[in-house]
Amino acid sequence: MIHNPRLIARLDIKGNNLIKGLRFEGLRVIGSAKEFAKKYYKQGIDEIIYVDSVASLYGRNSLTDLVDFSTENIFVPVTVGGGIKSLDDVQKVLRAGADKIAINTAAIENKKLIKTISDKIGSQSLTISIQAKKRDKNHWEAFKICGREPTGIDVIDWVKEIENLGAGEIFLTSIDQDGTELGLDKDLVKLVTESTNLPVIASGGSKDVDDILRIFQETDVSGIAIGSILHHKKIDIKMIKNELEKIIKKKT
Amino acid sequence: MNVSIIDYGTGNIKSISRIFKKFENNINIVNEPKEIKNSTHLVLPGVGAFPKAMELLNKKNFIPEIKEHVLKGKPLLGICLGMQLLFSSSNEIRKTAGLDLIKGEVIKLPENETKSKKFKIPNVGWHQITINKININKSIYSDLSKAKFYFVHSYYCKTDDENCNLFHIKFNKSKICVIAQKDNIIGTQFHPEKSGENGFRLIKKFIRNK
Repeated sequence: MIHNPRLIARLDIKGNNLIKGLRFEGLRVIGSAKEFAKKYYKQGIDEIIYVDSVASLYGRNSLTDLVDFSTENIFVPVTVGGGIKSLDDVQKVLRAGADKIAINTAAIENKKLIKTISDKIGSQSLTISIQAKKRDKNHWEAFKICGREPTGIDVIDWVKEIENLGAGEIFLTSIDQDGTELGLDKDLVKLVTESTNLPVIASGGSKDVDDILRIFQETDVSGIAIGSILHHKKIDIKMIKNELEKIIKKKT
Repeated sequence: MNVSIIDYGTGNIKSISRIFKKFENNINIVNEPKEIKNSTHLVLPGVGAFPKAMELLNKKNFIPEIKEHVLKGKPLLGICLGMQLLFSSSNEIRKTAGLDLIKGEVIKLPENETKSKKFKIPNVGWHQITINKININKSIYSDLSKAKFYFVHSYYCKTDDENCNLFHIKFNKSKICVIAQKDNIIGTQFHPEKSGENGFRLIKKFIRNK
């Protein structure tokens, strides 16, 4: 278990709305993205990640208005992902006030972009998003375009490659578990955290407090991003943080 | 009151200016050294590498005005890399002289001694800060002890004078300084503008000077 685990709210966005799907499909509108983000900040979330889940389909990013709202109302780090294709896009999102950007499709299609971005803005602001689909025991394949297209790339090979290219953090989502509320994929999280020195944020399928605490305790994951159970009010941010605090105190 | 935030081409100025605006309307983002003259409070932000930041400050000729501001006894706040720039020198990439307003050097965070990945570099995330015992009650910031703040960094400031080492965190068994203060000059390794309510507490103290 790492020293200072982070609890992150994951907000999938379409236009001005917070949405959520199941295994990246069947997106349903939940409410106003701004209101949900503000609520989670007030409840003590450590970080927020916005994912414009249709952006890479249409090649655009509509999050700048939401990011601007966030710099005014949300004083914890904000990461933005979805549809970012170039250094120019990156700078636009950072100028709007994001602290980190997350890319997946563009990084897979143009590996050089990782180094270009990292050299320009520093690896601390560059998160590589990985959408992993289980293929076999201990084998996951990286997908692109919001979990829609297979790439043939082995997740662990990809993890090692992006670390060398200058990524600062990995945002790992299990496609199989995403939105299911059946539990995070511990095998995947363990394999990825053991393969890299980069901080890893795990996401996809968080079930309940016990599930989250177990993944923190049994792996070196740096953060867990929760979506579905949070939006559906099945979990309380303060309660998870209190429980985590107790575990850390016991250890030190 | 007139708070100036130096914009020398690095860092997330927007979030910083917006947290200040919660307390004070007269916030100026300054691109020119002469604009500093009228300020009551000065903020030096910064993200990225030390040599590049010093090069930009030099190129834009900000350094004499920053030093003059400090000499007049007016408050200066350095945030993250902005804190590191206040020190004598840094060995990030290559040895580079800093503003030398606080004596000490900027060095890499201590690596793990074991294979454990409990602490990672860069250090990203929240840490509870602890006051340096010899400085209890000596500063307006003293009551921030045990508060949590958000960090993103790979280097840290090692103060020559323990009296300037106001708060620390424990990192890989070492105590590393995270708030340095020398009279009217204060530096925070963490980002108050990303640290929720505790960030507000710190900024309020800086502005009200109490």
